[in-house]
Parts: sequence; structure tokens; C-alpha cells
Amino acid sequence: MDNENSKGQPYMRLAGALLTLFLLTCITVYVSRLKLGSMGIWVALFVAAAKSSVVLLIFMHIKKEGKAVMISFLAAVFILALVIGILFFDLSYRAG
Amino acid sequence: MGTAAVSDSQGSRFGMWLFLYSEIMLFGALFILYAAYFLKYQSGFAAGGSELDLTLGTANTLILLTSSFAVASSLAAVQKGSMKLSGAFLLSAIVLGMVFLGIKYFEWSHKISAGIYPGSAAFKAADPAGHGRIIFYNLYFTMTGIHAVHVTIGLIVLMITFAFTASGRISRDNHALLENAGLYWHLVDILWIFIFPMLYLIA
Repeated sequence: MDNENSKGQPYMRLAGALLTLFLLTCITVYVSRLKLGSMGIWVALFVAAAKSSVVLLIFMHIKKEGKAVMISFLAAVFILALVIGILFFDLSYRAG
Repeated sequence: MGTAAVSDSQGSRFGMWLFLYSEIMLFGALFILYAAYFLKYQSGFAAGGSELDLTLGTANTLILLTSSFAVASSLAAVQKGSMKLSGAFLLSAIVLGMVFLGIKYFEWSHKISAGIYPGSAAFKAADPAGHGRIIFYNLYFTMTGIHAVHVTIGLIVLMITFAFTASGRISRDNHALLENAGLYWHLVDILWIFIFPMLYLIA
């Protein structure tokens, strides 16, 4: 962990991540043209989550951070997901 | 001395992460607003989304992803001791960020000249898709506007970092500023990764 931190990430790994992100962007644009209806939104969000994970894991190299960052990051995402979940729960009980 | 510098770098990075969480919550609130209105005005949102230029939106996505790669590579180069290469990567990230803002300016000015902007009387009067299209564009200008402010701040930070790299104040043993600037820039990238499908891919 410290060893890689001091030497820096290999350029090929970073280039591979960029290529993956380009591919995922092409996929999400292509899928959006297929007119899948509401299913299309979920596919787009899933691809966006996958792209974010690549940026977090490779470009931001979150794994090299200590437990404090890992736990607090997951807590922040969990709280946001919880709030969004509560919102949809609330909306589903509203008329119209 | 060396140990103290390492722990300071870790502390400042943790502080940066805490700041990034507050940014996630700021944009999270906008995403929640978007989701609630989207459920109510799906056809209006689709009408608004179909009027955006998908080619420019996709181009901007690829540009921002590449600039993120350049910043990550700049940090890797510093850690390998290649200061010139690090500066070159950083400079290319700055140029790409400026191109992103240029495209965004072009898109905004095109919409505004067509009478599409928040509070436009002509836009409200000629709205064929009802209230949803107006709300979509209000969210479009708010989300891309706040994001553009973040890109601008990120560019200023990257420029300061570049000046420090050129003057030797950032080195292999002391690059906390570059790490933190990179974290901020990557977050700006992640935010766009979510904004892009919400605005451009819902037609």
C-alpha cells in the first residue's frame, strides 16, 4: 500500500481506467437511443454508478486511504441513498 | 521531520474527503429535487432533454474524463519523480477543463438566444409540453451552472498547483496540494457522470 503510494500508480492502469470510462460512456449513450422507457433510466444510473466506481477506485485511489475515509465515505453515500429512498417512499403514498 | 510531513499529508487528505462529502450532499439535494419532479413531469422532462445537444454533452463527458485521467497521471508522475511530465499532464488537464467550460458556454448562449432560460416570458408562453419542460430547464441551468462554478474553482486550484509544480514547491516528497486538488477535480468529474444522463439521456 505505502510502497505503491510512494512509487505512484502505473500509467497503464490509469489508461485502462480511461478506456473503460470511454466504453461505458458509449454504452450508456447507445442504450439511451434504444427507447427502453423507464428501464432506460435505471440502466443509465447503473452505468453512472459503475463509472463513478472506476474514478473512485483508480483515479482517486480510495483503497490507499485508511479505514476512516472508507467508512466515512460509505456512510455519506448510505445517508444520501437513505434520503432518496425515503423520498420515493413518501412520493409513492401521494395522490396523482 | 519526514514522519511529520507524511501524517500532515494524511490529515489534509482526510479534511479534503470531509469537504467532498458536503459537496456530495449539495448535489444530492439537487438530484433529489430532480427525481421528485421527474416522477411528476416525465413527458415534459423528455421534451426538454430531447432539445439538448447530445453530441456536445457526450463530448464534454469524454473531455472531463480525460482531464481526470491527466490529473491522476500528474500525481503518478510526481510520485515517480518526473516533475516535467507531471507539469505537462497538469497543463493538459487545465486546457481540457477550459474546453469543457467553452462548450458549456456555447450551449448556454445557444439556449438563451433561443429564449430558453429561467423566467423567460417567451419560453413560458410558447411551451408546448406544459410545466414540466420549464422545470426541466430550471434544473438544467441550476445543475450545470453550479457544476460550472465547481469546474472554474477546480481550474483555479489546478493552475495554482501547476505554478507550484513549476516553481519546485511541489516535489516527490511534498505533494499534498496536488493530491487534494486531484481529489476535488475527480469529484467534479463524478458529479458530471451523474448529471450527464439525467439531462442529456432522458429524451
